[in-house]
Amino acid sequence: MRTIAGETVLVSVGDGVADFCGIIQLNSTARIIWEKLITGASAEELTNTLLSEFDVSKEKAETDVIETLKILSERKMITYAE
Amino acid sequence: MQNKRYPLNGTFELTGRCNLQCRMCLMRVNHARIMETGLHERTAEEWIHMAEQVAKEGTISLLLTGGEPMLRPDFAEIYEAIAKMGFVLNLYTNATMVTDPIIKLLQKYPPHKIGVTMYGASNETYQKLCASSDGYDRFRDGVDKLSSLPSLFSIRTTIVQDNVNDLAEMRRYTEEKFGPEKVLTVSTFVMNKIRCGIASPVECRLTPEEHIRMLFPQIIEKWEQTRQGLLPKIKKKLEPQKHSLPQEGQYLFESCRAGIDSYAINWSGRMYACEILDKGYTEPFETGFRKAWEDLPEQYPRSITVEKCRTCPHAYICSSCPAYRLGETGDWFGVPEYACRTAKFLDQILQDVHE
Repeated sequence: MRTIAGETVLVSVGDGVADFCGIIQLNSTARIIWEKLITGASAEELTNTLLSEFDVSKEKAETDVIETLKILSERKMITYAE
Repeated sequence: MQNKRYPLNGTFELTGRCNLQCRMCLMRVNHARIMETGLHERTAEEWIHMAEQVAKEGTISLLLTGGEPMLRPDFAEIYEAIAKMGFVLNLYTNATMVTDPIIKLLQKYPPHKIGVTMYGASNETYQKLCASSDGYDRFRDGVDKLSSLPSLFSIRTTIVQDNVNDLAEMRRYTEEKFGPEKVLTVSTFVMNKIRCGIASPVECRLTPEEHIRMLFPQIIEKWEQTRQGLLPKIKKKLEPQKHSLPQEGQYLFESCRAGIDSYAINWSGRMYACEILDKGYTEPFETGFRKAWEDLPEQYPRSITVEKCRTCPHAYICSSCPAYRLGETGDWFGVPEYACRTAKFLDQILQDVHE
């Protein structure tokens, strides 16, 4: 994760380039999700983090987590553990 | 100039030396020339530390180039450290030094983009132009290895007198190797050597007219058919767009954004707004990157109107820029005759095919 001109982006490195040869810009929600993800947080923990950081409903927080994980997974920035 | 400047796009010219000795190279130096200048190449440790600094300052896209970067015995050390830092990494190479250890490293850390330069379609041409008797064999072997990586791949060439007859075969090789969608990009200009370069680009380049004929063969064919009356003229009056000459007093590179969102650090550690500049630099290895970046715009004169260009009827199609003017004439605001002849010839073609 890099901060470029005030914006947060993800850049694939190493053999990740084979799966996604580009960058993804993160909004504030996605940035918080990513920061927790790299510590090994579960989906439930990610939802709870959003609830504590933003004034949103549990349903909205769950949707944001699912959508963000889906986008990151589609671009091979994350993989799900067996 | 816009208030906000971000060093988003950087170029590290890791060495000015090259295993090929291309006659048209703008900036190639050798060990003897480096000794004459009193300058020196930067160490691996210095480049890695510089990359850490530019990452911190917000560089997202970083090009590693030369000379031939793989010529450095410590290329792998520099590359591996930088590849882990999270840049969108570009690598330019002539593809003739892709050893097994290097390709293994690139497989582990593929660059996002690889730009390969091609200089001919036979060992004879490589010998004549680049003083390399097996250059073409080595190039093809290197391309085979590099194109197996998942990186975006581009292939470019510079055409001069010594390889102009190879162009069709070079295009055929590119298409056969990569399919019809991969185009061999031909450099649009060859300018005077810069920064202590030891080659002779001006002596071996095509004339402006030959250059245009080489770049645009289909347009030339239609032009000649029109002149012979075999094709009708285009039923539309040519209405050239007014050329956007830089405004008086403006930052010199306002239109191309050099020094606004990009920079190049050469082999000796000098930072320029653009990699083809010969003057106007700061020294990031001495002052730190941030100060060198902040001080960069002050190294260049403010734009002034070049009277001959303001009134030139061909200016609308002229591609010269301040860096090119400086390289060709030694003057930021000089009038480069090669560009004038190119624009005049192109304008003549366009005038002839329009009613």
